Amino acid sequence: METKSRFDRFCWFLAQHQIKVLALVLILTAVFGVGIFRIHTEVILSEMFPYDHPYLQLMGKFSQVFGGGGSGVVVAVKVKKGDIFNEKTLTKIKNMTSDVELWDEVYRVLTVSMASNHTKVVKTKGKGEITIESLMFPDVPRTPKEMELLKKNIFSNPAYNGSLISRDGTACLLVTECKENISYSRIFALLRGLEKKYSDENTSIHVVGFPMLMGWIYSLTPQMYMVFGISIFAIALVLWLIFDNFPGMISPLANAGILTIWGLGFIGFTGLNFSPLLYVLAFLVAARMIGNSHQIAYRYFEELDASKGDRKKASYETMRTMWVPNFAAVAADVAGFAVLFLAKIVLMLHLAIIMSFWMATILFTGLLVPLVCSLVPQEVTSKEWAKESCQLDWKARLMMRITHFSIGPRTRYITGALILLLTVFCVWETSKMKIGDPTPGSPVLYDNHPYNKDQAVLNKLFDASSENFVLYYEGSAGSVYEPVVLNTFEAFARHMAERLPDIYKSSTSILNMASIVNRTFHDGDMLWYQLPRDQEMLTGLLGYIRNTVDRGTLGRFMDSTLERAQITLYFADHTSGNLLRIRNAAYDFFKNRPMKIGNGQFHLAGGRIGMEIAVNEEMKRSHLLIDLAVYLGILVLCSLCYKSIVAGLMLTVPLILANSMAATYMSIRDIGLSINTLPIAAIGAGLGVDFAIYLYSRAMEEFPVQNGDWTATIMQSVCTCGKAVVYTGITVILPILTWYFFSDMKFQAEVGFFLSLIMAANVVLTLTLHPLMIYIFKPKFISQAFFDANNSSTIREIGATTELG
Amino acid sequence: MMKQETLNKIRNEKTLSSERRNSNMRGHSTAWPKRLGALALVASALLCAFPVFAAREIRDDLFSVSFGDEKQGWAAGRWGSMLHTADGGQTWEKQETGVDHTLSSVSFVDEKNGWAVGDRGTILHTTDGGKTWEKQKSPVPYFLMGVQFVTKDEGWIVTERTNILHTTDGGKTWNLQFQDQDFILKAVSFCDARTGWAVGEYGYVYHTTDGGKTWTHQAGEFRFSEETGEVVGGNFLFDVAAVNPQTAWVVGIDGYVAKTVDAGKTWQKQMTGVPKTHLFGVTVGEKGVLIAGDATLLRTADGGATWRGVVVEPSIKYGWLYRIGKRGKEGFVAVGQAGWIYRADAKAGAWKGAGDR
Repeated sequence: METKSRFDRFCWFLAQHQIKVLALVLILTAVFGVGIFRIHTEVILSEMFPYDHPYLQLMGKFSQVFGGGGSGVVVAVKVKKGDIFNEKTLTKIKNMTSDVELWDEVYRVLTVSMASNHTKVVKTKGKGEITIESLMFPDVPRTPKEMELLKKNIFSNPAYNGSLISRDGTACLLVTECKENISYSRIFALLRGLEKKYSDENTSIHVVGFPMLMGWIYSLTPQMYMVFGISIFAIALVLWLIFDNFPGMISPLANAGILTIWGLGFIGFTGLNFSPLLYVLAFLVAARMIGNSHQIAYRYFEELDASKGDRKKASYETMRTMWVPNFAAVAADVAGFAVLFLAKIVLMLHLAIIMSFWMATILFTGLLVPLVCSLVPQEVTSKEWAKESCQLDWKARLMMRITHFSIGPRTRYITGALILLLTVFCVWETSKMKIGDPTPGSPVLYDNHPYNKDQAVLNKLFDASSENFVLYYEGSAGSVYEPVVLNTFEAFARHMAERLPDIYKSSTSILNMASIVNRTFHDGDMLWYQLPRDQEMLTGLLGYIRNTVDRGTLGRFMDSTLERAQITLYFADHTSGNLLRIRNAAYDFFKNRPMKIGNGQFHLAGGRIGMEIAVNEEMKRSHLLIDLAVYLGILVLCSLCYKSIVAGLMLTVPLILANSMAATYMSIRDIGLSINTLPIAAIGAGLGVDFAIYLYSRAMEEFPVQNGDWTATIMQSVCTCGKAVVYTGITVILPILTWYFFSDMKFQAEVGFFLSLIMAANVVLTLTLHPLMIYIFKPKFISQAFFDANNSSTIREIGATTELG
Repeated sequence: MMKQETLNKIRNEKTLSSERRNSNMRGHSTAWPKRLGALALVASALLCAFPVFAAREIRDDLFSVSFGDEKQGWAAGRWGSMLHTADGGQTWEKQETGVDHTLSSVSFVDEKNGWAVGDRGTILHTTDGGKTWEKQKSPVPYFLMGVQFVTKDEGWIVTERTNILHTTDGGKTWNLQFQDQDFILKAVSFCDARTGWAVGEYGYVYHTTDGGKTWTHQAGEFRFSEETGEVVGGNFLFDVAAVNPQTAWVVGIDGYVAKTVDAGKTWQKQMTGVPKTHLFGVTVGEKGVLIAGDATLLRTADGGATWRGVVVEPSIKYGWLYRIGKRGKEGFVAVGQAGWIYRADAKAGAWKGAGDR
C-alpha cells in the first residue's frame, strides 16, 4: 500500500472503528438534540431592517417618542347588497366592537369603530353652543330619521367619510392596536373567530395588519410539515429507484437526519431567532445533505465493487477520495451563506452564522455516509457498479449524446452560440430585476390568498393604509409651537398629494385636530377649518389642545416638551417604483425650503415606507457586493483545490450564467430582490458548483486511464460521473420543488422554484458547457499528472488522432 | 340623567368660556376657553385613530364667487386657490395668485378688474382678468373676511375684530374706516355707493348710508344675563345681501334667515322650514332669493313667503355650499366644499355640477 497521508490514516482509523465512531456521532447528535428545544421561531420585524441606515436610526429614535406601530389590526365589515345602514349590520358592528374591546391582546382605548363610545359628533349651534354626542353609542338607530342623521354625521365629516366608513357606504372599519409581545397565533384565532361569527350571506369580514399576516404564516406551519413529509418520501423513493438497495436509501437519509439535528441544535444553543419564513432554507440544507450523501454513497458502491465486497476498504477509499471535491462543494455553499455578513441586517447576520455552520456540517457527510453504508452488509453486482467502465443504459446514452453534441466538431459551435445567446438574454433580463417588492399586498403570500384579497378590498374602499411615510420635526423645547413647523407639515402633505395623486391616500397629524378646534371655536365656520398662521393664535390653540387632551392621545403627534412632532402620510402601495417616487417627491419638497429652520430641523422618511426604502437601498448596496464576494470566494476555493486559477475560472464563470438564469426567472415573474429573496440569491450563487467539481475530479482520474485522450476522458467522465450528477440533481431538486407544488406560501414556492432552477441549470451546464470548456481549453490541471508521468509528445499525437468524428 | 349632567356642564363651561373669550379674545390670549376641552378630547380620540385630510386629487374648499359679466367669473378659496371661467361657469381653470393663504372673498366690477382678500391681511388685485395678481397693502394684519367694490375705485373690506377698510383709489391705499368691538365681521354688501350693511358674530349689523363715513350699529348684542349668568347674544350672521336702500337679507347659524324692508330698523325672521343648520351665503336675484349652507340650497320666489328646496345634481346632502354668485342676468353659480361648483339658470330651480363636479 502506498504511503498514507495523515488524512488517509485518519480515514483508515474511522473505517476500522466504525461502531465506536458511530456511537460518538450519536452522542454528539443527542447533545445537539437538546438544543432544538431552545429554538425561537418568531418573525421579528426589527431584525429585517438595516440597523445602521439613517432612516432606521431616525425611526428608532422617534418611535420611542411617538410609539412604534406595526402592530395595528384593521377589520373591515362589508355588505354585498345595499349599504351598512340597516339595523342588522349596525348591530353586528356594535357587537363586534364590544367583543374586540374585551380582548386582552388589544389596547381598549385604541379600539375604534363607528360604534365606539369615543367616536363623537361635534356641533356648533347659534350663540356658540357646542354639543357633543356619540356617533352611534350605546344604541344603533332604529327609525329612518335616526338613520338619516347617522348618515349625515358620517358623510359630512372628513374624519369619518372614507376612513371610518367607505365613501360608498358599503363598508366600515374597526381599528385596533395589539399589545406588544402577544401571541400571534392566539390573536389570529380570535380574529378568525370574529370573521366566522359575524360574516353571513350578505356580510363579509376582512382583516389585515401585521399580526394577522403573521397569524396566516404560522397557520401554514402544519402545511410546511406536510410538505416536508412529502419531500422526504419523494427522496426515499428516488434513492430507492437509483440504488435499488437498502443502505443506498437509508444512509443519505440517516446522514441528513443527523446533520439536521446538529444544525437545529446549533441554532438553539446560539439563541438566534429562526424565522418561519426561512424554513425553506433549512430545507435547502437538508436537500444539499441528501445530494452530497447520494454522491458519496454512489461512490461507495463503486468502491465496494472495486474492492470485491470489502466494506471497510470501500468505506476508506470513499472517504479518502471524496474529501477534496466534497470539501470544495461544501466550502462554496458555506461561502454563499457567510457573505450574508456583508448585509447590515440582523436577520442576514443571523442567517450567515446559522447557515454557514449548518452547511459546514455537510463536510461530515464524506465520513458519515461511507460509515453508515459499511455497517450494512451489502452485495453489489459488479456489472452495475463497475467503477472503471461506464454502463451504457439509456440514461447514460442520453447524457452522452448531449455531451457528444456539445463538443462535436460542428455542433459545438451551435452549443457555444446557444449558450452565448442565453447569456446575453439572461444578463439583459437580470439588469431589469427590481429591488424591493414589485407587487402590492404581502409578497409572502399568493395574490389570491385571503389576506391579500382582504388587503385589496381595504385598499379599494378606504383612505387608510398600512403603508405610511412620516415627516419628523425636532428642535428646541417649545419650538413645535412655531407656525412654520405645522405649516410645513401641511404644505408637505399638500405637496405629496399633488405630486402623487394616484397613490396618496390621506395624512394624519395634529393639524387635523387643530383645524377642527379652530373651526369650532369660530362658530363652525368652514373658513376656519385650517391651521392658524399666526404665532400667538397657534400657540393659544395648541396650548389649549395640549391642556385639555389626554397625553397618551396627543403623544402620537407631539411630545410633552414640545421638541418633536410628526405627520404621517398614507399611501396606497409599496411597490419599489412607487417607493422611489414617494422618496423623490419628499426630497423635492425640501429643495425649495430649508430642512433646518430657526430652532430645529425636519427629518425625512420615517414610517413603514421609510423602512422599506432603507431595506431596498441596503439591498441595492449589498446585493452586488454579496454576489461578487461569493464568486470571488468560490474562485479562490476552487483555485486552491485544484491548485489552478484556470480551474477556478472554469468552475466560477458558468455559475454566473446559472445564476443569471435564475435572476431572469425572478425578473420575468416580477419577484423583486427583497429581504426574503436576497439570501436565496446569495446562496444560490454557490449552489451547483459541486456538480462541475465532481466532473472535473473524475476527469482528472480518467485522463491517465484514457491515455490522455481528451474526448474519451470527457465522454467517460460524463458517462460515470454525469449519471451521479443527474441523480444528485434530482435528489436535491425534487424535495425543493415540492415546495413549489404544495406550499400555499407564495414566497416559499417561489424560492423552491428559484433554487430548483439554479440546480437544474447547473446540471445541464455540467453536461454541456463544462465538457465543451474542457475540450476547448484542455486545462493543465487535468492533464498535468499524466504528462508528468509520460512522454508528452506521444500523448499529444494520440490526442490529435482521436478527434471526434 | 347623565346626559342632563353633561349638558349642564357644557352650559356652565360655555358661560365661563364666553366670558373669557369676550374679555381677552382670540389670538392674543393663551387662556383658552375650557368649554372646548371636551370637544378637543373627542376630536383627538377620533383623529388619532383615523387619518383625515383625504384627497385623491387636490380640490380646495371654495368660499366666494364673483362674475365680472355673464361669462367671466372667478372663485376663490383655501390655499390661495383661484379658479376662472370664461364660459359662464361651465369650465374652470386655475389661476396663479402667488399666495397660499385662504382667500375668503372675491369681488369683480367688470371682466378685468377684481380684488380678493383673505387670511393675514391678504389683499390681491388684478387688472387683467386674473392673469396676474398683485398684492395690496392692508392696514391691519387680520383675517379679511369680505370685500365688495362698487366701482373700479371704491370698495370696502370687513375683517376680524370689527374693522372696516375703505379705498377710493382701487386699493392703492386702504384706510381703516371703522372699528368697534372685538367680534368677527363676516360680510359686507352695498346696493349702491352709499348704502351698505356689514354683518357678523352675535347678530351684529352695521349700516351706512353715506358710503361708510359713518357706520351705525343696527342690531346684535353680546352680554351676560344678570339673572342667569348666561350669554345673551344675537344669532351669528354669515352673510348679508343688500338689495336696495330699504331692503336687505341676512343668514346665519341655526338656519337663521332675516330680512329688513325698512333700511334695517327692524329685521323679520323668515320661516324657511329647514332644520337648524349653518347658512353661509345669501344672494338676491331678479326672481328671488337664494341661500347656500350646510347640505342646503334654498330658494324663495315670493319675498320669503314660501321656500322651496331646489334640485341639485349631484347631491350636496353630505357637504356644504358657501356662497352663490350671480352671472349677470343669466343665472347663478354656487361654490363650496372641496371645489364643488354648481350652476343654475336665472330661475335657479335646477342646479347641476359644473367644472369637474
